[in-house]
Amino acid sequence: MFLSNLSGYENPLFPDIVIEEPFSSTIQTPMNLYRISFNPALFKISYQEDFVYYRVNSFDKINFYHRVYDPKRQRDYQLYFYTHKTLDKKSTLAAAVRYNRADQYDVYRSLEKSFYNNYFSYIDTTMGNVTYEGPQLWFLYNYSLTNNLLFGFQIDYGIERSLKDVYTKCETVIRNLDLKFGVGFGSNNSNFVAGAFVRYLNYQGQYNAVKELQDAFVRTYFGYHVFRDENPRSLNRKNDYKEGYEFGAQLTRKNILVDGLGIQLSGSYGTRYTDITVGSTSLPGDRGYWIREGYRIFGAVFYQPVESNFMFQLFYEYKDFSDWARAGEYNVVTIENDEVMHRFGSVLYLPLMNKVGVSTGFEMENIRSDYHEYIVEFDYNREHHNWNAFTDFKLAINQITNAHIKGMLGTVEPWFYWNTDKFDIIAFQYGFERLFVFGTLGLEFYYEVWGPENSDKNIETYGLSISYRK
Amino acid sequence: MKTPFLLLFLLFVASACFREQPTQVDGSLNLTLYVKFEDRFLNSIPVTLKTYDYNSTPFSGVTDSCGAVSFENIPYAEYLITIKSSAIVASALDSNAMDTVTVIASTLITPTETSINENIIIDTIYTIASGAQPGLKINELYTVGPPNRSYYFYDQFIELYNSSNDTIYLDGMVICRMWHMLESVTYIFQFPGEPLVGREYPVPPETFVVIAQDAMDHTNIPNLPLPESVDLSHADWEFRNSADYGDFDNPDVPNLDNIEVGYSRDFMIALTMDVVLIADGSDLDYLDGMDIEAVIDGVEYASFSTHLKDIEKEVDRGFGGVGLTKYSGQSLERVAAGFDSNNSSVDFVILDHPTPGYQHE
Repeated sequence: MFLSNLSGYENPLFPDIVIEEPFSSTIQTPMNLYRISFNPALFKISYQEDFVYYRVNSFDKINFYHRVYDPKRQRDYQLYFYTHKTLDKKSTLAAAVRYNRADQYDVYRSLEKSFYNNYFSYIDTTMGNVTYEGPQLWFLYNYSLTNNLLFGFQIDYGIERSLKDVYTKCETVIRNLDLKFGVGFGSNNSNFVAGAFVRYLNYQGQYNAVKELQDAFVRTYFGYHVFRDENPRSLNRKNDYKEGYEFGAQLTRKNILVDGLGIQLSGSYGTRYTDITVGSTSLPGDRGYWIREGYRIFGAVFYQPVESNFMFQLFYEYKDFSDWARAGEYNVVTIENDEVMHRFGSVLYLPLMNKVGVSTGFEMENIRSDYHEYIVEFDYNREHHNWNAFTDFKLAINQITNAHIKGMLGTVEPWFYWNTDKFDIIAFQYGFERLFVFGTLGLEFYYEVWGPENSDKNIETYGLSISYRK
Repeated sequence: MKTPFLLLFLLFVASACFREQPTQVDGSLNLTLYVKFEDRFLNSIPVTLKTYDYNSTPFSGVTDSCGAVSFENIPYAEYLITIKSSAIVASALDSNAMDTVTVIASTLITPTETSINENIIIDTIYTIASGAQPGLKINELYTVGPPNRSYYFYDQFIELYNSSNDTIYLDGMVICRMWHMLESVTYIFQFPGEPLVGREYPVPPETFVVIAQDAMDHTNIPNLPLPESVDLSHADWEFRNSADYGDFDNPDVPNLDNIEVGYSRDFMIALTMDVVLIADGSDLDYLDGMDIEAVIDGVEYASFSTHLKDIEKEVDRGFGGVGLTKYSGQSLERVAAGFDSNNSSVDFVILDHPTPGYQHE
């Protein structure tokens, strides 16, 4: 539901590719080349009509089942504005602004927004509530150099601050920059498009534990089992600096053999390093760095005849990356992780009658994880089999009102730190849109529950979204 | 034509991001330690490794018959190696005899680039007898008195020296004269302040402290010229018994006072044979002797080589002062400031003249 490609806070090396249209739940289209590659040069080809979109989101996630350093509850609020506009025959401009606020409740010790997403996480001795807030900005410019040659660049920028409401004043400040330059080639009949991009990531974060008149006690984790007690001091700080690159190329071919049949291919290679220092502000100690390096290949076959609303799509994603972390003071590897992911899925949109359509999809993924901690030996080697399936009824109530009801089932086999072998997922979404003279207003409700195999406690998420687009 | 160059340039820029993966993994260090005391390897000695880099539990091992102990596949980290054990070693006084002494060692070992490449560290840990570690030392004992025929020996002094790298505080410490072994205290005088926690009377590293029996200029006593005595009027401390109304008291010099009930004389020690020790003040119950855990340093001296020891070997394995002569102006001082092997037989030399507040050349 409330997905968008802003990466102003967390800029993953390979951003997730989602198969549904981010701006509407009542429209089902095949994935376009921009959505599978994020190449800014191909934006103009993928989105041709001007578009303005506003949205207000709220989530309430109650973690009755949670990991040690997870919050027991999290509320997210988002204000989102997005627009793209064709300036002239050659230029397209897109921009988005999102203001986020996340309230995490009863966070045990962790000073991280997501403790388990880092190999060098940072905790103190407090339990409290944390508020994260800040803006994310996104800007894209796409220009046709010639009739066939396209150029584009894209900037993601975000700032986020947080404060934990405990005596140890735990503050985090992050600044994130994600730049992408792309070129594209489109044939005269638009049946063939190819492109390439280069991406640069830069992230800087500070995590401060401050105690006046006393010392703050903090720990730095190396993986998930071994930690170091840092020297107590009135201000203990973790500095987190990331930098990375990604190179990618992609192509699409439409109307192969028959009208409406097409293929998409995208591949990228990326690498990123993360430097961690901890301690005093003037002379922080080197705690090591970690490297993530890998590549992704994504391919899709779709069939959508021009004269019909019928749409069918098959896709396959292969992702292979490896991590390794080096100790701060010694030239040895402390952590290694190799992950190979195969993901396969399909989406079918079937117009049943004039006013009813059903969209159904299925995807399964297999992730092989080979994780090692070497300081104190810990090995984890396992395959994870995940799947999910959804069905979405889309109903035109009248000429100006649409509604949809969507149900989703799935299972996820999580990593060892979840202390369960499997989550069963059930999600339900209901939304409708109404056309007014000033635009389309939409309202959506969302409910999702993750049930662990070996516990009666669940993770429940409630969501509400109000959107406006024209 | 330009595209390949552009791609090459981009790859070159990106290569700054690529860092070479180390060939070694953590947790693969093999550490072998040989434990030695003087010239002999020690077997059956427990060795403990503790690191503060990680939350790993301490590693323990025991030396084999060759005096070696090995730890395999441990993390690369800075380790504090501690040894404290009884060991049978050659006697300090009789090379044909053996003594049981407590040997100690405490040292840090840090992996070097070479040791990382080779996965191994081999090192030798030199233990010392308990009490020989750096700290507050009795550095000089001047006991015999100056040349005179009046049996004058009130110019006695004890010189302390801080051989550690830390400031040591004298607050509440005691100086004792012992009778026979730690169970019998003859005199006990205490520095002012609270033992163990007081911070009023610091001794910086590499600093001497002179404690005079009487802090006066002994070379300039009316009607008793003693030109070979010492001027102690600027001593740092002075022994003073409040119960002895006739005891000289220099008002400019702070006092150590007697804490023994019923004792009413000054701190006087035997001229050529005695035991003096300094303790941290945690044991003030002198009637049952002095706990060895409270002892900071002790020195036994005797002027004749056939002397039988009067203090436990944990405090002093030998004794110094063989050849001391009464009323000769000689002094007993460590061979170098703070030098301590816990064997006064080798630690001390006899000087012809005392050197209060400084080390002889």
